[in-house]
Amino acid sequence: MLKKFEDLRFAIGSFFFIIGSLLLVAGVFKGDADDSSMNLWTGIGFVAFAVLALFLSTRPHRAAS
Amino acid sequence: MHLGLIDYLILLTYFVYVLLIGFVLKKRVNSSSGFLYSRNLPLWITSIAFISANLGAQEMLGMAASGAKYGIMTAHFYWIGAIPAMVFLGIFMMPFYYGSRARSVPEYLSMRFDEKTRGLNAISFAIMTVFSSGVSLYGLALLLETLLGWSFSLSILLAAGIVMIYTFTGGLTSAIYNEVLQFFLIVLGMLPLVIVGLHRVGGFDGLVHQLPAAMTHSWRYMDQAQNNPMGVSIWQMTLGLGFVLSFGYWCTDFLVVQRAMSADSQLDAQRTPILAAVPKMFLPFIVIVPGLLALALTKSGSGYALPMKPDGRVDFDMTLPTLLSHFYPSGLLGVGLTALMASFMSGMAGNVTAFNSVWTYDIYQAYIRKKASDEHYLFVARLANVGGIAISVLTAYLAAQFNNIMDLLQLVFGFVNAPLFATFLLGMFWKRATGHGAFIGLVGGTLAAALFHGTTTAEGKGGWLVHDPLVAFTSGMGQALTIAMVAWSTCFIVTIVVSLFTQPKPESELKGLVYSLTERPKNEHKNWITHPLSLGAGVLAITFVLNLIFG
Repeated sequence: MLKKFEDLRFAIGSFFFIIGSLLLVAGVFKGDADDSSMNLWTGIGFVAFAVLALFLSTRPHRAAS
Repeated sequence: MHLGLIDYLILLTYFVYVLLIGFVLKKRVNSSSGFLYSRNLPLWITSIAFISANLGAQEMLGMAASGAKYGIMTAHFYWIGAIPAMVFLGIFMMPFYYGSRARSVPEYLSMRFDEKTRGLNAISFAIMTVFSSGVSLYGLALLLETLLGWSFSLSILLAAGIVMIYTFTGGLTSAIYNEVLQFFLIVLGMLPLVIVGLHRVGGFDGLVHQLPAAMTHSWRYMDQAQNNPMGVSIWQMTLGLGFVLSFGYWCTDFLVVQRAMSADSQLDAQRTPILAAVPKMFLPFIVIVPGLLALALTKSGSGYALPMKPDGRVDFDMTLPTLLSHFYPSGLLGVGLTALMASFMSGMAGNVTAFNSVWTYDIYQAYIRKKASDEHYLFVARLANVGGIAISVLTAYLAAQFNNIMDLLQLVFGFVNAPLFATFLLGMFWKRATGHGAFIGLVGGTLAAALFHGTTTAEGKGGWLVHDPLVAFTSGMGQALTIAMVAWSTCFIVTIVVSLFTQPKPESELKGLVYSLTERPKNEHKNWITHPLSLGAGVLAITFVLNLIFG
């Protein structure tokens, strides 16, 4: 599992997946309407970016990362 | 500012990830070269690291502050002060840096000129990097103390400790990987601020409507220095910033050039700064627009007001943190704060890794112990890593005690940096330039800069050599840009004159180091669209359009 982190695309994808998930949790369960909306939409954006990075990490890479 | 549990969780996740990246890259570091330089990274990583190395906290806080103070003119630090130089570096200079197989910029100077020119550049660069690293650390600790009430010493030790661990274990590659992570964190973490801020002021039209015209046009009010908020003329901007300082930094500073030199081929090394220019030209919308928004929101009475110092003046440096605190809810606040911390730590790591290379290869190996085993140099490099961070910590405490010392250091660094591009330009494109010429030209340019500063004033500063200053500039920025032009011109002329009276290196020793003596590779670029020249032309065309739109 740790070896996967040598691929920077996986490291970035998993990082933003965790952060995005935390924001989604904050958006769903906490704050007033405005706060909730900001966390929610940013969380969705982060998770979408994370999924893209994780998908790219499944593809072969020509160089060391 | 009050952080919630979720904010701390986000911060903790970031710390875990940077350490994890350093740890998993540890096995690649089994030699001094594995620790100090890389030539196997893909283009997307080197390109993002190239701009990220320059996207430190001073830049983030400073650009938002300048946006609030000077308006959209601040974008010139990108559109005029970076993009053309990055394209020039990619097309004309990278072939020499990469093709010469030099491991560092000072080493190229040694190959092209001589050891004394290398030594001068290496020592000044090494001092600059560790002090810059210390300034980053000081800035971070001050920010955390001001915003969160964290202990100054604890903040310094925490940040320095984390940076030391991941650069010690993973070396340069670890620093580069973390720079890429930091880039995405900054862009994605700051974007919501711009979106929400623009929404509050009624979109971009609303923003323009709220601000004076001189703050929303980048060129229109530059006919006279006193007509624009920055206090600079069109000549100071185009020649001082757009030529001397910009090319001097982007084309010769090893910190950024090292990222391009890490690419896995010469072609990708050339493309690195050019592709990096694409996000770079749009960064003003992330880092400068918040400053403009802060000013517009203050004027519109939206509930947000620019921060003030105890003496009643606006504290522009705190613009970005106060915007984050005002607009971001718990959660997103953690992302914003982590992005700021990442930029401080990444700036520090970039400086420290560049210092490691220059210390080990260009000072220790060149002057102290020429022949030793690779294990010995790896040991020295790791020692330099620890030593560099220790000096950074001391610098941070020094800055806390004597704030004027940092101003003085930055001034002196400016004197040293400004003439450098003349040395490289003549070195790469004039085979007659000699080592004596380069060395005396650099010293002459630096002395000319100091002399000019000592005989002119701006905003009450300078003029330390004379009772009545020769020139009083409208702004410190105008003075700094003029000093850069004087230093560059002096270095250029002195290098030419001294070179004409001294013995040049034989042409056989200059192959691959000077343009006219280097064979250009043929048929390497099968696709004209990805040729560095085509990419560079495209980048310059888009930059030109941006200047037209915001002119």
